[in-house]
Amino acid sequence: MDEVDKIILLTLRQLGTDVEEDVASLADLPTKAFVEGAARCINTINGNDEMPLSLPGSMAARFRVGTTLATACQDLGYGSNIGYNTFLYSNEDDCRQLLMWLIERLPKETTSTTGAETLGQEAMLQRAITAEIDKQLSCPWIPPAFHRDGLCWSNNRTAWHLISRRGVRSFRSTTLFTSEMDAANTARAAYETTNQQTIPQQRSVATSSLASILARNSRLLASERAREEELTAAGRDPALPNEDFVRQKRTTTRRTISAKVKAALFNDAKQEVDMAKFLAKFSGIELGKMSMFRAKHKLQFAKEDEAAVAATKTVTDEELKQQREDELSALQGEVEDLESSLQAMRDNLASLQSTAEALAEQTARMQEENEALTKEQKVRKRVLDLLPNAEENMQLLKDKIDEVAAKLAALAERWEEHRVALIKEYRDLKVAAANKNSEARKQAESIQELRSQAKQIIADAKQKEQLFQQLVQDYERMNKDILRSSYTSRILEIVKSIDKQKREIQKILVETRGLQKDLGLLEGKIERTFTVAEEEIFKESKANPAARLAYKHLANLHAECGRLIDVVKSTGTVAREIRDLEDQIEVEQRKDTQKNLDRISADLKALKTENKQLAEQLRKK
Amino acid sequence: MMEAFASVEDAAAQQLVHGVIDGVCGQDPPSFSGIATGLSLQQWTSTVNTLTQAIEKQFGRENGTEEVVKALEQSGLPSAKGAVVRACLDARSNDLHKALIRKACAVGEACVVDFDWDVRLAVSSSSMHTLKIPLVHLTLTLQQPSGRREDVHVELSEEELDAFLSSLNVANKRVQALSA
Repeated sequence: MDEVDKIILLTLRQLGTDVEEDVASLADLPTKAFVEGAARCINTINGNDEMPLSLPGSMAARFRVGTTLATACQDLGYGSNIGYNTFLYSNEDDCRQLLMWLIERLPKETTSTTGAETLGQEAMLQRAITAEIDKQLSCPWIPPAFHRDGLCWSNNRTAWHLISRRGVRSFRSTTLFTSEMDAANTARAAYETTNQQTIPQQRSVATSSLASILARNSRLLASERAREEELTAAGRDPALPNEDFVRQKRTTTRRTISAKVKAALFNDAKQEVDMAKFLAKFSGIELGKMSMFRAKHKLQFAKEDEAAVAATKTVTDEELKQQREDELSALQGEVEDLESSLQAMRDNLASLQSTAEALAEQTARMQEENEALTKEQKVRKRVLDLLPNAEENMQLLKDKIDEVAAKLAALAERWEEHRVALIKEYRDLKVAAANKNSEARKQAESIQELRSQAKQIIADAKQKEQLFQQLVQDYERMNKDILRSSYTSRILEIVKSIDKQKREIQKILVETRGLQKDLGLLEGKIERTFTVAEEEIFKESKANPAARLAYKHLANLHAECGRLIDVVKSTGTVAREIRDLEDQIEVEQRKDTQKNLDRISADLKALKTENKQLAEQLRKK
Repeated sequence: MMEAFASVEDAAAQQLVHGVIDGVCGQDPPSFSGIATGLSLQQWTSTVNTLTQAIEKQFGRENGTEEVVKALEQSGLPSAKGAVVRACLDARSNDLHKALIRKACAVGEACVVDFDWDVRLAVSSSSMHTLKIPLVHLTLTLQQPSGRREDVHVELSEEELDAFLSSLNVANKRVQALSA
């Protein structure tokens, strides 16, 4: 019984029933767990969730749950007597019998899915491809125009495959215009609120909105990553604003590019373009500004006009008019004269300026010549002075030259000292700069390395998790297998012992049959002996009166013996009946009738109180 | 050329100028039916062309907005509409700036403007039962100087793809060295 109980409890636990760990046999199983287990079994057999898993609080509802379970069991074909009492007031035997019957009817586990997990990813892919091609080959041919977007859904819209190229667009992105989110720029904000169109409305985007959005997003991501990398390589924190760095970078980039462009242009132009010719192009341009001279002139005129107006104010109107006209003509003439003279003066000035420039140039040249000549003259004079005693002077000069040479050598030595020190310093600084640079690069590299390591570790962790889960599954399966094998071995043992018992029973039966045969033989012998004896004595008794008495005694003896045998037989049957009764008593005792009775009476009381409450509620209404 | 533009209402004019700017920035040019300007088709074409040319040629200069307006006024734009054009250009200066930089960067004869890729697995061939060779199918969209776009399809095996990527890396390094 112990083994059976263990198997039943294990099965119940596997089905998800809440059985406490310390429950070792069905005798300890509480009613709640028993009802839940039976309901789970029935649900699993029927493949639905119809049976309630727990007993409700109210007595009437409990009764209903018990009845539902009992009818479900009867519908499944449970042969023995079953009712609500089986569940509500369970005894160990009924419980065991019912659970064993239910567990036998549980559907067998499907084991076909276990093979796939052990295969590699590549094999899985291969298998998927094969399945896909098989499916496509088995599909009937449909004109491509009938496929919606060239897609075919399968497995209840969880998987799809392409059937034709219809509806498949190439990945073409276009420029998207989006908001700049800059409230300070009012012109932009006005455009964004009135004229800017949403992305789906932008005209060229209509067919490629998804591609454009994806491309834009990835472009932003890539530029952001490049910026971060550059900043980290430069030893800055990318999270902080780095405006000065960006500005600096921009200016240096511009400078390099402009330098390169300039160099390229210069190389092209160098052969033919003369700078003078280039400048000559600009010589014809008039300057817009007023020259000093013209400004002064204008001011003078204005003052004269004012004086004239003040003088004529006292004269009468006609005269005034005449005067004015005269004055105007005179003044105009004057103005013209002045202008022409001004023009002449200007021309004159220009020519004078040019001559002045030419003269200045000449002067400078002559001065230079003059200086050169004076120098030459001085040297010649010295040489002529030295000529009279040339030997001596030459010696002197030689000495001086030696002296100067020695001085130079000394200076060179000193310079060398300085130079060595300076070169050393320069080298040190160079090395330090290189170190700094390489350190930054090293750090960037190490950051990169760490990132990749982190990624790898995450991937490893994922893989290990998967492995762990698979192992857990394996473990569960193996655990079950071990139990099952142990159970099968035990079952085999039990079957063996049952065989042995059967054989013994057979032996006993054979013995009993032999005894019965002996008994029959003996009975026949007695019968025969009795009839022979009776005949003999009956023959004798006709002649001999003593034999008559003997015959009487014989008949009596026979009858008494027969009665004795009957009594012995009846004693056997009575003893058997007694044993049966004893068995029955034992069974009844095991059913805990007293306890169940107590429970039933308690439930009855509860039911009665519930009824009373319901009646009261009804009355209140 | 731009006299007809004077008769267009301010709101429609704004829409039109923005449409032209969209065209300069790489989207489709504005459509005649899309904007209710009241211009004849001929007027429309000449207006759009003048606007496009003025923006493309003049905006890149220093103080580009003023240069564009000046060029338009030379071809007959009334000063009242000058303000409209100026407002539009101010609003879109960032977009135009980017578009002009992109144009300036496209130095060669044809340049790549877009690309697409997918991976294929050759399962078997006419001579082999099983192959299992992954192939990358790369589509490069090139823009010709004439503005025409054409696709170039390349199929690369794994080694070819590696070689291609390494040559691209070398090119990228050269560019980086130029900007650093």
